[in-house]
Amino acid sequence: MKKQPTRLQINGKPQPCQGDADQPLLWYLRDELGLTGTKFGCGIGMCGACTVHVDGVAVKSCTVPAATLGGKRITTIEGLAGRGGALHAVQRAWMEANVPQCGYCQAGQMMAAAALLARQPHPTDAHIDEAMQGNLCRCGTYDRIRKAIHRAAELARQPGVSA
Amino acid sequence: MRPASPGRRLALKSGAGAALALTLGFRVGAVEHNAGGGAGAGASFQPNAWLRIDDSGAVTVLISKTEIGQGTATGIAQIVADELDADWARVAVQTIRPDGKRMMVTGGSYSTAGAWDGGRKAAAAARHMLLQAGAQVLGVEVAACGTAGHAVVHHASGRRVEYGKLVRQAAALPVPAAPALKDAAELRLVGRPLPAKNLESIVRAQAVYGLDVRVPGMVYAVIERSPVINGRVASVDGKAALMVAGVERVVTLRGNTFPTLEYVRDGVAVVARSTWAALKGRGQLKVQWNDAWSQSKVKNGTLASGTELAADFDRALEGRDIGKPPHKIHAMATASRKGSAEGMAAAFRSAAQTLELQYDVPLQAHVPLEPMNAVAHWTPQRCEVWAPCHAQSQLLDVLCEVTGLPPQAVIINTPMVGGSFGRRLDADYAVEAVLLSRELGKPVQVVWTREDDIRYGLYAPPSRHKVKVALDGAGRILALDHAFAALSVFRQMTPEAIGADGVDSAAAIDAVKFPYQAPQLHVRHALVEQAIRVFWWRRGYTPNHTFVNECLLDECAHAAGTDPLQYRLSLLPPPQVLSFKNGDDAETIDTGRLAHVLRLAAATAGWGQALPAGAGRGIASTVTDTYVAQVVEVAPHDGKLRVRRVVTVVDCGRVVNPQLVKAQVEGSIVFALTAALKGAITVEQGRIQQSNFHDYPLLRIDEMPLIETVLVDSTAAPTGIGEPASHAVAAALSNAIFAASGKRWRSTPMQM
Repeated sequence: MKKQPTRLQINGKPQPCQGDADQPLLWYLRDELGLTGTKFGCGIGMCGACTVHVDGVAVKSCTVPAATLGGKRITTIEGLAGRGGALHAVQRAWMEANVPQCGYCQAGQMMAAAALLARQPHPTDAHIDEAMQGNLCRCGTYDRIRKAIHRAAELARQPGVSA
Repeated sequence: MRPASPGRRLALKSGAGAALALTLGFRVGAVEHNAGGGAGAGASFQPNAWLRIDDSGAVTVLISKTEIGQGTATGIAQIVADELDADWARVAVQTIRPDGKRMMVTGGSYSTAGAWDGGRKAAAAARHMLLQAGAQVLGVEVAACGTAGHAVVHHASGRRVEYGKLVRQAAALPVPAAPALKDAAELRLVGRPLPAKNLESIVRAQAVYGLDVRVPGMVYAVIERSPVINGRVASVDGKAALMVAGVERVVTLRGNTFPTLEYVRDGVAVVARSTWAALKGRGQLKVQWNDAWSQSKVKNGTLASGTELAADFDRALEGRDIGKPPHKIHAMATASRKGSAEGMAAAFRSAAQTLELQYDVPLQAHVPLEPMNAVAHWTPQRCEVWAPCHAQSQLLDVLCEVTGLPPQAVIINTPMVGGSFGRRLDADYAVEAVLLSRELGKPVQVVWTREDDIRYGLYAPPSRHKVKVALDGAGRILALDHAFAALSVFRQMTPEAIGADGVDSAAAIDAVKFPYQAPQLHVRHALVEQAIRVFWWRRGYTPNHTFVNECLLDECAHAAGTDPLQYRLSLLPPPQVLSFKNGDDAETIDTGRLAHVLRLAAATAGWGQALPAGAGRGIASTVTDTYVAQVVEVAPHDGKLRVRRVVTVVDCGRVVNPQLVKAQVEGSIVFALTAALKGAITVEQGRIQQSNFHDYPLLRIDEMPLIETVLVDSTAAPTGIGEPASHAVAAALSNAIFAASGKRWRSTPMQM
């Protein structure tokens, strides 16, 4: 009996997911859909490089089987920018603050930050600590990440900026 | 199953490759040479190896250096574009492929500094040629023209010709041998906080890192490696792995023998149509390992362990069991001596106070966030590799030996690199990918997991230091005897780099470079060999010696009853350049610049001003070729101490890009605090005990101190910044903890 594929919605597009029921969303995104912006860092949900949004909430995609996400709205870093490639407030702030060094963890950092701002438009440092402490940066860009999140909160209040 | 193997070729590696490796992680001796002589033909202008201008006016700065997050691609492009009078928006930067001619290695915090000379000269040559070509086109004298904004401009009339329109004429002109450089006052890009060239591609997630490389027909491989160094595959049962959907092959990989320049472990690769299938397949492998093989070959009956390492360090420092199996301990060698043995003995006899201190620095892992990986495609005629590494010339040598192909048939691409900190100077993952590609006859991506990265890595060299200090009645240092035992990168990879006197200059130089007055000064080391791979780690040994020297100065200051800042300043010779022998080379310390960063850091941090109860400040400094002083402040928080603030003053000469320099300082502080506070790598029975971020934790955003960085305004030639601000943090922290609590940490990780 052929198994029915799970239907996922990724960056606004329906995507069938068939095959190994255990496969983490991370590898489904990277190897099957070619969405390599979501990164592999630890495989145990401790570094946050693989952070995506599932129904708007930051989730570590290395620990969630894709097959369990039927009907969910999934957004990856490739889907964070708005129509026509207009950068999200977080991405704009990341550029203003010159956050990245090697850049590898930054997709996960930006996804975590965007999820924070979606539920907390005026984050305090304590909110940032709480929301971002699961995202590691070996290059040590934390200081600029904090500044960029505060800046993104300002930018998001401006008209015409997607957030 | 025929094992894929690098064979003896790799094990017997020597000659050019070995000489090349001497420069890794340390100062690169050779200056970049401008390979070009003749000008390029056609619709682009390439006067030398550094830059190309096409007829649209697009400028590409061609760099032999690798961007690994340290900002060097942007810094070098800034230097070149400034000298060229190019429009920054029309300047791109590209890392070249190794061609066997231009040395490709990135390390030693020397890349941007190295371009200050070579890159400017190359750009100046191009600018002079464009200027001549432009004058011809405008029909005026060269002297009546200048360059500005990507064009040649006739001063009197204001008429201009864009660089792109001049590439054909310029390419026909001779390359000037010694073109005049712009005056420093005319620099418009150097010194500006320009964003990194790759910023938008990172933020849009369009940057292609090694792990993101996709080649048609590519398969994915995950390797179960020997848990111990030099262990061999005894038997493999791959049936269950082959049952996993998507798994294509199980391949035994025959490694070579440690110690060697480019060590590759024995392993069993699971090759699959997706990373996940390969990972799942690896979980189903049943591999028997022959540890006994390693025992007989490497340690004559023992596998590396932490307790044994400590015992070997003690034997080495006490001069016991030198050269006696099963230990491999080399005799104590003198790296530098000021005064004499008799003078030293006399100083200790006459001392008002003596201190005997022991410091320990553990193994640390690099753990860049992107795990090791590479893609390789080896056909009989050519071998193409996509490897996120930054010692491409060495990798080229190694792959020519492994494949038997000539250099022009080995193509090495450098994708984006997700961090390194030294780890990616070694490219064992690329050799694995090449061996597997030969076996499979198609492109293969080798993916290391985090566990592989931590267990099968190379580690910061551990060391134990025994320091004896004799102080006079005023607390001045009469004599300092610094003996240390360490694992040696040179011994493991390039033993010919060890001097005839037995000195490992890379291991010793930062102990030798002690700028404070000590009439009797003896620095010596005993090298220990164990089957634990050690390597450059945001330099190597500099963090170890800076921790020792800057803590011991603090201990001497307290013994003398003097303020630690005043103590340092009083022992520092008046402004002058001190020179220290480093192998066949010399390194210098300008005591005036060092005193300046110390004073400025203290002033910025409010040194001497009252702190809340239970808080404390510590100061430390370090000189590579850049001068760094740091003040760490700790304060009580939830019943423990917490790092509250880190003030850093940096003198790295002329600042090419202040935001990139500050980024390196911020990152270096996080890197160093992680090592100082979080953990260490340990080894038992030849097996690394840590495996992922749960047992090798990194500093997180909620643990960040306030960071304040001051860059000294300087017109001296630029010096490095990728590493230096990480070296003094541990000592400044230890000194701060002592100031706050009276507890002295002489080893890391420190418990707050």
